Parts: sequence; structure tokens; C-alpha cells
Amino acid sequence: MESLQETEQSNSQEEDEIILSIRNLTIDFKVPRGLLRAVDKLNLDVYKGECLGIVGESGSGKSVLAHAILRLKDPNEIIRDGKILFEGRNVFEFSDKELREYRWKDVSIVFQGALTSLNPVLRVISHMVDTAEAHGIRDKKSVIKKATELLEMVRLDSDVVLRRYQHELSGGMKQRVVSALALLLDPKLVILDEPTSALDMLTQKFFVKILAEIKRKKNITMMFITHDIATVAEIADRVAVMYAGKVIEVGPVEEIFYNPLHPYTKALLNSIPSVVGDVSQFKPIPGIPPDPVNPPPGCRFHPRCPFATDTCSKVEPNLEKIGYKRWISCHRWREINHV
Amino acid sequence: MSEVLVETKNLVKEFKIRRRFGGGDRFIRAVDNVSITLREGENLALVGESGSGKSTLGRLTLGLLRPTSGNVFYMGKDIWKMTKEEFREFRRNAQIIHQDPYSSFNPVKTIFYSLSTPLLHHKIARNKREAYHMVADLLRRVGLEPPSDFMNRYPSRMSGGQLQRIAIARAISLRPKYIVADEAVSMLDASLRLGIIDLLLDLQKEYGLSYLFITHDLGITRYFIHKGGGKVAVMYLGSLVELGEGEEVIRNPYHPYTRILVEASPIPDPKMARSRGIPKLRSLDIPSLTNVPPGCKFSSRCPYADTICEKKVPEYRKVDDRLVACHYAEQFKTGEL
Repeated sequence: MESLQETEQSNSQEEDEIILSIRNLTIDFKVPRGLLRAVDKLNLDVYKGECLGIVGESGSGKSVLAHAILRLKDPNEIIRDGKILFEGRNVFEFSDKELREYRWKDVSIVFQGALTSLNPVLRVISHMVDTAEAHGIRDKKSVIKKATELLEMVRLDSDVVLRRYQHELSGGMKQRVVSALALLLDPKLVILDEPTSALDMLTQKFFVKILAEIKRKKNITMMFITHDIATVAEIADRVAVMYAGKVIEVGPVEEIFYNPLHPYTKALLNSIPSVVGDVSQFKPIPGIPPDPVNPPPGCRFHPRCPFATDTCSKVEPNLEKIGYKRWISCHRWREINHV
Repeated sequence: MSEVLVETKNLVKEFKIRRRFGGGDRFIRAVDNVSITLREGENLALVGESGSGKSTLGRLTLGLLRPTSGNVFYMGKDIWKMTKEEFREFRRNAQIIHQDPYSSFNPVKTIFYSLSTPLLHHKIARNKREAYHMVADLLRRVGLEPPSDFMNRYPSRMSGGQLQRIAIARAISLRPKYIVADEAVSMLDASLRLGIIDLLLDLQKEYGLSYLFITHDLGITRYFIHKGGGKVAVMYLGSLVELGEGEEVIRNPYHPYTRILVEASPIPDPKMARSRGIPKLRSLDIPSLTNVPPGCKFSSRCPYADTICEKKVPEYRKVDDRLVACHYAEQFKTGEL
């Protein structure tokens, strides 16, 4: 079995440029019960220009990962190990000044609570101008021009919206304003952390369509983090599936949806009924998600996995490279999929 | 056909909104003239966006809110004309499962306390010892084994899925006939949702329950109705816009609003999801309840609306076995629109 590091060298013909590379990232949280392992020896690459969907259930560590990329640290958080390389530079070794420049100019984020992200006593225009100013851009006119452009791009009437306060905007509008704000400094990477969860069905659909359009037009790199695997189908180029703090399967979006190899990915896709398809094939995943304070040994999914063997309950599988931009972490993926 | 268990007739609920800076009070109509029927042992799935009034309707049928006008009948009796004793009996028979299990349990009381209190209160258990055995049976019934592991736990020490099972145990503990499941699976992880629905439907078979299943998720609605049977009702700004039997309402909607909801539902299939365009809506945002459009309420967003729709409130049309509140329901059915 090849490890991730080894295969990386042997596959240097993969031309696509890696913008963000996470290696062996391990993050613990101090909780009353002990130590909670939120992210566990996680390896992941983000390629330039792609939209990487990160899917996982609650507690799988996806938001913690997003925050770690921007080095937003919770007081109870302990980074145990690993590095995050942005264009080859380790984010954890940034000086304060480097960090200030890195945040928002290189990488920006739309938080899960985007609906409460705006300052209630500032107009939208002040958010835009202040953000630019904080990064040394004092040319107000060009900032407003840029903001106008971005607001139009997210289908908002900039003349009206720029003068509004957050309470004068609907949920869907706020979400789009926050997204425009995240794009203001032309970041190389935008992280969207559950951007659609607080929105209504129709607004959600619209927002995702707009994001897809922006991605096409501006060719920015996106990380789209969500618990809703169906939304990812619509926007992602590649999908990483997380379970118990680990990435367990990564691949191009069509591979993940039409040819999932990991038993968890398969079961997850089968557990989400939609308005199309044969409804009788949908099934719940038995068991409960692992307790992050006390995770099961071996493969974290083995207590719920129909294919688990003795090995699975003892030995942790590696994330193995099995194809073009495709990784999997399962002892038995070959047998299960008859490869 | 089985007996009618819960029925609402022209039910209206208005809430007063106080103006902050003077001016008179205003009213919003959260539920507007809704009539539904639920028979014993049957299901009704209630679908709509947030603010459509589905939770308010659910609470009205439980007697948790008093209607502004119209009636709620339980087994043929108007619940607001019941004697104290009858009302108490009704409340025992009508239970609710809330969306967020963490906020529906007392955080400083153990699971045993939360589950035994109603049993003791309604004198179903005579003493604590009897209650203990009953609670153990309930926990086993909802799949939490061994029960002794859960009895003395606090809600904060349980996962969302486990706690939702306990909420279900509490809802069935008084042997009710009617349960409102208000977004009961929305907060749970995708992998657990179907398990909870399966549990609800198993319990239905066992106890002959009737569910008012409230959700915004059409995929979940389909699964629930496919497995458990029943009707689907779609609400928009307090009004019922479409009501019909079974999955067909979702597979083949006759109301433009239902159709758009179906089109906007996420599909876990990259090719199919991408081939669908942005929902054709005249306006994206749902209008405020303080500013409901005249005529058809959906006319301000409906891509098919014309001047009739903007002026005249549509009456319910019976198309096949379905009730549809749209001037053009027949054309939607035949595919002309």
C-alpha cells in the first residue's frame, strides 16, 4: 500500500498547480470530558481553479479545518501536528504581518453564520470600504466600483444595497452581500463554510447557481464546505468526504457520485432521498456517528460498515492514491468494488 | 374508511405585530383559512418554506395556540369547546416532536426524570418503580439499548440522534393517537434521518398513530409518504396551495409553487443538478407576511402569473383527486403551462 507522500513524487506529471496543501493535520479540543480530536492526521490538496466540495456530517471536523486554514484558533484548540501549506508557505509559521496579508487577500471565508456576519450599525458600503482600508487600499472610488461590480455579479441592485443596513436585507441578500465582501480583494482561495444552510430552499438553489457562475467567470479557487452532499453535486469539481476528522475519499465529482468506492460514501449517498430516482432504494446508515472524544480504533467507520473485518477494527487505513486526483482510505475497497 | 381524527375548518391564526415607533398595531395572518382532515392511522405531510405557517398550523391542531377564527376538531369535538376533563384527555392524546431535541429537554434533569414525569402525572405509572420499568421499555422500543445506560444521563451528554429518539419515546409514552412531528429530522445528520423516519413508521404500525409530518425537505417527504402512505399538503404564506394523495404531488405537481419547490430541491446527481437552471421566479424572496400580495399570494413570484392572478384570489379547484389553489391548475396538469 502506498502512502500519500510517496505517491506524490511518483505522480509529479499531474500538472495542475496545488494552491493549498494540508499534511498530517491533527487538531484537538479541550472539552470537559477530555480531548476531542476534531481533525485527525488529515491530508488534502486543493488545486488552483477548482471548487473542492468538502462533505461531512456534524462533528466530522469540516468547519475546524476551514478555520485552521485561516489560522483562526479557538482558545481550547490545540494544534497537535501537521502543516498547512499555502502556495508552499506554512501558514503556521506566518508572522503577524504575513498573517494579516494572507487573510482576506490570499484566502477569504464566508462563515456559517453569514446572516449575522455583518455589523448592524454599518451600511453595506462601509463594510466594503473598511475591509479594503484594513488592507491598505485607500482609493475609495475604486473600492466602490469594485463592490458595485461584485454586487451586480451576485444579482443585487448595488445602488440600493450599498446604502442599506443588514436589517434591511433578507437572508438571501445578506448571504450574497457577505459573499461579495469575501471576493472584494480578489482572493486566491475562498472558503465557504455551510453557506446555504441558513437559507430557504429556493434561495439556496439560486445562491448555488450564482456561485457556480462566479467561479466560471473569475476562475477562483473555492472550498465549499457542507453537510448537504446534494448541494455539492451542483457546484464542486472535486469532492472530499470527511468522517470522524479524516478525509476518507476524494475524487472528481462524477466519480464520487456515480462510482463511490468507500462504504461510507456509498451509504451516505443512499441515505439522502431526493425528488428524483427510485425512493425505495434509500436506506439509513445503521449505528451512530463516532464519539470524537472516544473514537473507535482502526477504521473509524468500522462499527457501522457492513464490510468490516477484524483488520478494520484494529488497523487504521491510510489515505491511498488510486487514480487521477483520487484517494481512498479503506482496507477493502478493492474487494468491495471488485477491482 | 377509518374515523376522522383531527380536522380543521377554515382555520385562521393572526398574530399582532407591535409597531415600534407609534402607529396602530398590525396583524399578520400566519394561517389563512386552512381546512385539513387527518384520519385515524393515516399521515399528512405538510410542506413549505420557512414562514409558510406550517408550524403554526401544527400547534393549532394541538391546542397549543388558540385560533383567531375557525375550528379544530378532535374526534368530532371542537377542542376549544371541550370540558376541562375532555381537553386534558385530548392533550394526552395529541403529542409533538420538536425540531431541536436539545432545546426540548430540561438540561438539568436526567432522561429518566424527563420520561417518567408525564407517566406519573397522568397516573399511567403508579410509582417510581413502575415508571422505571415503563421508561426502560420505551427506551428499548426506540432502539436505545441497554436502557440503563441512558436513564441517568443528561441531554447534553447525548448525540442529536439519540436525543431525538428519546423525544420520540416521550411523545409515545402516553399512548397518544396523534403526533405532530415538526421538522423532527431536519436537525439530524443525513445518515440518521431515515432511521428516525423508519422508527416513526414502525411505531405507527404498532400503535395506530396518525402523524402530521412537517418538513421543508421534499426528498424526506417523498421517503416518508412512500413508506408510510398518506397525503401531502403544500403551504405558502399561510394558505394551503395544493393537497393530494401520496408521492404523486411531488412527482407531478399541479400548482406552480409546488412545481418550483420540486425544481429547486437539491439532487445528488452532478449531471442532472447542473442541467437545471435557476428557478424561474419573478422575485426570489418570499414576501413578508405584513405585505402579502393581493389576489393569488404567489402571484408576486409566480413565473406564470397574469393580471387575473394579481387581482383574484384563486378558489380551490378539484383536479383529479387533488385540491389546487391556482387559476390555471388544469393547464398545469395537462402540461400546457
